[in-house]
Amino acid sequence: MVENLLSVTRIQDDTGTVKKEDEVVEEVVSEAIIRLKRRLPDIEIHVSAPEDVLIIPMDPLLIEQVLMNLMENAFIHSESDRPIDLRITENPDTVTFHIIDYGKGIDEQTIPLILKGEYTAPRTSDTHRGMGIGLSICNTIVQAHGGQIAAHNHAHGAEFLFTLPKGDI
Amino acid sequence: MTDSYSILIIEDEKNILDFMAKTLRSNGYKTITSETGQSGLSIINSHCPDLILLDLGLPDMDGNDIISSVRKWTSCPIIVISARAGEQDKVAALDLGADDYITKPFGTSELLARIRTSLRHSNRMASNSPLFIRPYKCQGLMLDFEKRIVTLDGKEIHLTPVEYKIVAYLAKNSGKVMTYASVMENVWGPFTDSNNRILRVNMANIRRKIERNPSQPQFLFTEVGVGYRMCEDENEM
Repeated sequence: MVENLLSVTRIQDDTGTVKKEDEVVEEVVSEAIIRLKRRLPDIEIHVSAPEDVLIIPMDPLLIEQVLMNLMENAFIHSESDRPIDLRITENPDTVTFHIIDYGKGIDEQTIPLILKGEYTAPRTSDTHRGMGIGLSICNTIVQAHGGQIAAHNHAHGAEFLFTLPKGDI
Repeated sequence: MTDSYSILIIEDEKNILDFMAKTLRSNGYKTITSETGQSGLSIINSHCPDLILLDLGLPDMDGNDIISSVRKWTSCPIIVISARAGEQDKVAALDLGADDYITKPFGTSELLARIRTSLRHSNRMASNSPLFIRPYKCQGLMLDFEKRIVTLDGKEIHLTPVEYKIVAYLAKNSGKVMTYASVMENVWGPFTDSNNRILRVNMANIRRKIERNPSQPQFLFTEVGVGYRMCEDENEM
C-alpha cells in the first residue's frame, strides 16, 4: 500500500509522464513475481511469453507494481486456488500483458468505476476491499506509459490486461 | 564459527536498528550499533568489524562517503540497506565498493543470507583458497572453470565465448549482486561503452539456453536497474 502510493510520486506531476528506459520484459516480469512471492508465498503463477526477446521502454519499478497489483488481486479476489496465468503477447506496435485467473469472475459493470478510482465496495461485503486504490493506480501508471488497461470475464474467470507501446510515443 | 564475527550496523531509524541487532545477536553474531555516520566511521576505525551494514539515508552524512572512506584502507564487506526506489544510489554504492545491498522492507532470512554470502566471499579472499578449481554447482547446473564447460542435468550447453565469460563471472560471485558496470568491465574490458544493452541482450540469450522458462528463472536473477545475481553455489550452502 505504501509502495503503491510512493510509486505515484515517480510520475511527473506536470506532464503526467514517466522516465522510461529500455527494459527486457522477462527481467521485469521475473522480478515482479519474486517480490510478490516474498509477500504471498502460496501464490502460483504460470508465465508464457514469446520466444523472442522483448525490449520496451518503461519505468520498470512502476510496471512491476502494476503486475504485482494485478496478480495479487487475481490471487485474493478470484477465490480460487488454481494458478494464475500471466500471458505476454506481442503485437506489431505493442506488447500486451494478460493476467488471467480461474475464479468467480468480476462484475464487469463496476470495472470502469474501479479503474477511475470512483468505486466504493458495498458496505455489506468486503470482497472488493483494497481492490479499488490498487487498480486506479495501475491505470494511472499504464496511462502514463501511453498504454491501456482493461478487464473482462472469460468462460472460467476474470482477465485483466494492459498494453504498452513498443516504441516511444 | 559465527559467534566470532562482529557486525557493525549504521542505521538512523531506531526501530530498524534494534530489530536488526536483536536478529543478528540471536543468530550468534556480535553487534555494534551506530545511529550516525560520524560515530559509525570512528567505530570502524577502532573496532575493525567483520562486516558493516550501512543505511544509505543517514542524516549527518552521505552513505557513499562512508563507503569510499572505508574502502581506502579495508576490504571489510559492506552491505548497503536502501529504499526500494533508489536504483541509482544502489548502483553508485556497489560501484564504490559496497559488496551487496538489501532493500527495505526485508525479512530475517534474506538479511542472514546476504550476511553469510558476504562473509564467505571475504574469507575466501583472505585465505586465498583454491576455490575456482572446484566447479560451480546449483540445481543440476554445473560450470567447470578449468574445462570451461557448462552442463545442465549432465547435458552440455553451448555458450559463445562472451556468454561463457558472463556466466563464469556471475558464478564466481554467486549469491552476490554484480552491477551492469562490473560485468561489462570484466567481460569487455575497462573502456567499454557505458550503454549496457549488449550485456542485456547477451543475458537474454544465455537465459534461453540455461533457463527452462526465462520469465521464471532458476539460476540467473535480475535486479532491475542494478545488475544480476546468480543462484548461490551449492558447495557453499
